[in-house]
Amino acid sequence: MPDPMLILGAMAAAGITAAGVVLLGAWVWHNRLSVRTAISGVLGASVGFFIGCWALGPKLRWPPQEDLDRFLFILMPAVLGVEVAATTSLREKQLLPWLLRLLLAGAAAPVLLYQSTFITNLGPGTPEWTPTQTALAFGGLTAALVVVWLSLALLARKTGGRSVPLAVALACAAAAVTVMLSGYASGGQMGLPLAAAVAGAAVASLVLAKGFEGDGLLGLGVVGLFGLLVIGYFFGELAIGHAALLFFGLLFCWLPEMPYLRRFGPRLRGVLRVVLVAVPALLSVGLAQQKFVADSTRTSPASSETSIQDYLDFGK
Amino acid sequence: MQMRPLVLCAFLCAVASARAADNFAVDPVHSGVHFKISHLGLAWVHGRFNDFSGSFTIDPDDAGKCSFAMNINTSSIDTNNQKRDEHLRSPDFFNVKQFPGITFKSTGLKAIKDGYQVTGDLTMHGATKPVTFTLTGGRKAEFPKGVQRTGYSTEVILKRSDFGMDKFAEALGDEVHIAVSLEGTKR
Repeated sequence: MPDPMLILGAMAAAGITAAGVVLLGAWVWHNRLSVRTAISGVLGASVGFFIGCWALGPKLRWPPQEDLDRFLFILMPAVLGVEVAATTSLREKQLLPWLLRLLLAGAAAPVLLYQSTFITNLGPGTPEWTPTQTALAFGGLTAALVVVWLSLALLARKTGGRSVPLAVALACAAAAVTVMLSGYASGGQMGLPLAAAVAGAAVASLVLAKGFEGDGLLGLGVVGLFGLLVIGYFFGELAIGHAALLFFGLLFCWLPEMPYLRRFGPRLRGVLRVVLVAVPALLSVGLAQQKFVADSTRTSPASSETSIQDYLDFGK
Repeated sequence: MQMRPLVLCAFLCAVASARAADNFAVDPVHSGVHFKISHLGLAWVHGRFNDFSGSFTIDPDDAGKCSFAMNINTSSIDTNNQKRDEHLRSPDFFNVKQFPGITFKSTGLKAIKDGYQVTGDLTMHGATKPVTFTLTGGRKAEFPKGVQRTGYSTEVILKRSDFGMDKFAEALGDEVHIAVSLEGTKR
């Protein structure tokens, strides 16, 4: 398990790689707003994310057996594939990219929960869900992902800035800490390189003179955040309220577009967007920390100060 | 006509042999699956699984006809600390929503003094590995009246990393000492 310095190193590797690929794309393609520079954004963030994850040294298994294997080997590469395809050949027809994204959104939860006790007969008491419950759960999760993804994409198109991807990166970082505090350290920490990669690509895109088409970057961040929360809730002990705060808190990005706040300039509204998303994100981290301390104290008063972090640090 | 006694004898021997193999169901009330693991290299944390089942067949005359099978519900892990148990159930360790059971199925038994040397496949955390251990016991008792029972116990050391459970290796030992004690009621 990595220590905090290793996590920081992984984040730095993710952010720098993502930024590097975006800048390289801008240099090679002469800083023009084009399909290629849009691809460099999602490609940079993806490569940065995977390098950051690799730096953390997770012990994965192939073929994928666990939720984290499927998150890293199937879901995130699928996002990259869909976003590259959507950005290149299909971007002129808005319906087709969104059909691809819809398919991905529908497949995300079933992929992560594949062969789990919820949906598979693995012995007495399984599957835990009836076919109706399974359909409702997957339908609800898909709807949640589509609503948040679509609304953020519309907003990003409307504003054209980097504040939406940055807000998503912030939520990813908060989700990482929250999931780790909820007893799933190895899964939660993957959110930190994701946050760094999305932020790195978004910041680096500022060099692009004519703006930045960040649909792909947004897709990577939103689906990655969704995946982290799903595995944290269904396989770890992430509270549903904390997951909801982190995911639906992203919709606060829309608040600066309300009539009164719309009078502010685009830059101020961009800053406001990130600050507004930070409120539920930090609230969820605080609540998770509070719950962790309370549970530790309740179950083991003598070692109430012991945390997962203490275990991560031990021997370092 | 002289063949009749021989045939009868062979038949009786076969019946006796068939009856010699007794089937037992594990009595969870009088059985246990316990483990201990090193914590920081200082002391041992002890735990157990509260929910398990199993069956075994014993043929005192033919170890080849003996067999053991056991299923353990991983979510029943109990180390007397709720927070730790929740963490042990998470994907950092057992990942009970993905791998709800630990199973053992014997593939071969060899009679030894006071028991058997058992070889079998242990499936845990999605990985199946062959394991060999010594089962001692085999005494019989009738308890309560009319219920025949026998029992065996074993201690075995496994490396959790062999089964893909390698998180927190600095703080928690890789070797897990497991003690299983089985009491079975004859079916």
